[in-house]
Amino acid sequence: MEASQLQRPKAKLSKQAWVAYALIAAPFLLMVLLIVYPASLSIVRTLRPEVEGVRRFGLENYQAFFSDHTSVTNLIFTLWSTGAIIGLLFAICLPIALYLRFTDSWIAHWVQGLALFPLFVPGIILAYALIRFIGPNGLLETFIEVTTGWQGYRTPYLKPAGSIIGLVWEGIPITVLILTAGLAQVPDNLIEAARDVGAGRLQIFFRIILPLIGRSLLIAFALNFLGVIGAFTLPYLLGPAAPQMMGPFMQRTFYNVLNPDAAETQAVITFLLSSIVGFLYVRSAVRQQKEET
Amino acid sequence: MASLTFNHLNKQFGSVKAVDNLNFEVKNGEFICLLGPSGCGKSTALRMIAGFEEPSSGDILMDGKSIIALPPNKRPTAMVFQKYTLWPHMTVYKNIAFGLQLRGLEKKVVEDKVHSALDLVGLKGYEKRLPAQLSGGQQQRVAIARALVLEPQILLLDEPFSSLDAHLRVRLREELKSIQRSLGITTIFVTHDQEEALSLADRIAVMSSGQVEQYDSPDIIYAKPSSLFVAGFIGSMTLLEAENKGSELKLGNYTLPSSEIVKGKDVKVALRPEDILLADANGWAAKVSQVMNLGPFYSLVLAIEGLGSVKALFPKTSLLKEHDQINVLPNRYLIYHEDGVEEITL
Amino acid sequence: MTFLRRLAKDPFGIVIFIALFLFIIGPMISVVLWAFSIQWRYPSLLPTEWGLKFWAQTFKRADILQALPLTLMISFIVTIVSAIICLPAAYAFARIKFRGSQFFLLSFLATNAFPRFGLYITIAVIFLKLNLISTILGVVLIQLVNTLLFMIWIPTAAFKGVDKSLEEAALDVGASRFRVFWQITLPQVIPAISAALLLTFVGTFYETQGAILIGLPGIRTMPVLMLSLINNQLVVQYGAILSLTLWIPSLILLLFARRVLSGKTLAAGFGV
Repeated sequence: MEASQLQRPKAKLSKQAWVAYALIAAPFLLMVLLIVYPASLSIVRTLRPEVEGVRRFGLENYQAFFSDHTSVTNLIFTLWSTGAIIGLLFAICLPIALYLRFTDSWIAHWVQGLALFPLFVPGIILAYALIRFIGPNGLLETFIEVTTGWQGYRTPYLKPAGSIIGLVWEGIPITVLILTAGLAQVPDNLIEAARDVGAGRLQIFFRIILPLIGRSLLIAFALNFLGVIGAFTLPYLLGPAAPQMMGPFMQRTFYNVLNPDAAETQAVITFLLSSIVGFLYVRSAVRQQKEET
Repeated sequence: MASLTFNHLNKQFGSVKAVDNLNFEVKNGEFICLLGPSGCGKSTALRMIAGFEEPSSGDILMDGKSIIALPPNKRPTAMVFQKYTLWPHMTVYKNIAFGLQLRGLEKKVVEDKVHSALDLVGLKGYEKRLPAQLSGGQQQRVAIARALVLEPQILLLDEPFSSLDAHLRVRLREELKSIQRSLGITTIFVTHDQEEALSLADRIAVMSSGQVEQYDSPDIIYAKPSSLFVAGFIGSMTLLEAENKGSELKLGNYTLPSSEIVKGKDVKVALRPEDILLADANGWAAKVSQVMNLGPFYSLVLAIEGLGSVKALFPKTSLLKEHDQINVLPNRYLIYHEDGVEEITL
Repeated sequence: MTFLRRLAKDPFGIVIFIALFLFIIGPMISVVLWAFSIQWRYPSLLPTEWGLKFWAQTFKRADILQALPLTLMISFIVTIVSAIICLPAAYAFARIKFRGSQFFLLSFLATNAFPRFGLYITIAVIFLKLNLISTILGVVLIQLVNTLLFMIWIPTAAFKGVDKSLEEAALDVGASRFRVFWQITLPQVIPAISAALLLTFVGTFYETQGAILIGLPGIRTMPVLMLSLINNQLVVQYGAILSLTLWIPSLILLLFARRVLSGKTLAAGFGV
């Protein structure tokens, strides 16, 4: 009697488990077929170049990439831009997030609204808007000239700064969102306790707050890094034609130069570049999930 | 160590008066409990001493000097919070050492102080643990050590034990009291638990809607609560409607002696359960309607005709059961009237 | 006076607000001004001639009339397909205990763990062989990739948020499992699920990178058309008017977001 009672829920569980596997099969297979499979296939294929009609293992594709001046310049330019964008995003968003965490005024509500607004502006519309705003004879130039009479405005449009401005604009909301979520998890008591034992603002920020939001900083860094390395629309429309960021460079190689193999190699190189970041992102998201359950 | 004075202290949040004209004094080395229901302003008062809230008006004096212009990090007070008190990314050692390091003390001095603070709270050998590896009681002990290591003039505690289970609460209470006695540090302890306040404090300030209702020693507060609010909040008390008939009070079919002072006033009679004693046939006829075993005592609910339910506390030797018919009389009672309270002992 | 005093209390807030306003709203203002101008000669701060002349012209263009229904159709298909495959999975993740459920749930983070455009290139190489380039099916598939994480994580969090004892109480009084789901569980998760649906629809509607790589030359969605208008069209107003019109779905999302989408719901979609 007791034994059967103990076994029954177990048997029921496994039947339910089959239902669960059936329910998750479709999205999981889709994910494997459209992400894991193409990505790993590309990694394998680029390592097996076709030489004189025969595919075999070799590093020719990568040698071609790294011996090509344009490719290397574009890669370095992409990394440089990524660093600049992430640096700017933290410099802009950390003060905003701290302000939102410790202020409860109606101005704070408007600041929050403004910071999240770009979430609702698609990249393509943003690109157009920025061209009209910061571009040659745009609203900003007109405004500066009309109000100050200064005529030295140099447009960042189609220059490295153009894509940086666009990607920073686009990155503000998730960065603010992630940082405020992290700061919200720092209880007031921990900060008050630090003030109580004599810590000033800077000491509280560096010794209490920063270590406690480490994970949020990491996730914000990772998502922005992956986002910028994998961006196309904004660098394509706002950035320079040379050097190019990897997104437009890959598109040109695939679509205009009609060289899918080279494009694939470029793609795999972006994977490798961001593999550590991608891994750190997934790991910290996994830990977050585990702690919540 | 220092004395503390509240001088017409007010704190307003929007239209709500959290603290309403607080005036009282804490002597050097005294252990004071601020006791009251949630929302009575006791925590706000404490947070104003620590400097986390700014008073709307009034003053707080420490040894006669105003401290309200000082930021929290400049005040000679140290606070222990209710929960989330320890910095989770620092070890026990670093938690306690943090404040000392901010003061630029030498490494060896910091080490010695941290060790003796841990010793004081009985957590020697826990230096390298992280807060997450400690039990709730241990975390609060570390929080106390962290506060004491800075050798503050005044120790502030905001319901520090309320998230612990009952057993542990009693133990930490005893430990805190002996630490306080050995250091002689002026201590202000906020709690909503009357038992905690009665057992810890030299004096208790019972608070209600931002004001101090009564500020006295635990003995006086228990024996002679100055108002019906305090009477209801501290211990168990039976309140009876009474008719004021000159020299006598009429309670249902029975009478009790009255006092000159309450003549012509509306009154209520209050009885502590332990002041109800068994009596002869002249006493109040009562039926035992409920018996609860409290260990050394029975807590009884007596049904008395014309009076209603009265609580009583009898020793187990009385051997009473439900439905027993007995006679009882109070040997002490309080008469509450609009101007205060009178105590009558028979 | 009191207004000024309240402003003075939060000087840092005002500085942030003004700076953010110029940076975030400034570009948007120039689009609105262009959309309602007929002529705007430099260096005038405002359009030199206002009017709606270009609106009629814009919506007479054959390429726009063709792209709009196509884009709407693709967005609908993607949203519906994504809902059909993801919502049951979300329910399973939230309500059924099974071996590896954590692993499977977290595996969808893979959609965020690759640089997006690089991933599209590798997909495009395969689609090229399968002749899926320049087909609706190809575009729908690549858009589905983007929707998986949102469509599974947000509803999973919502289903988990429904108090299990409410469901058990209903089962206890004799309701069938299906009835419990329909009458107890579903009403409580509808806000989060509609948020996920809306995010999916709007996200697909505006998706440019996958659409340009897989769709061209045969399938030209609105954002792709917009891209070529920006690059090749001399009439500035077309782009401005199209931007304003295209922004309507996002505006609906924005209004909806104020009520339903909390920062937390959004954060769930990023795996935070």
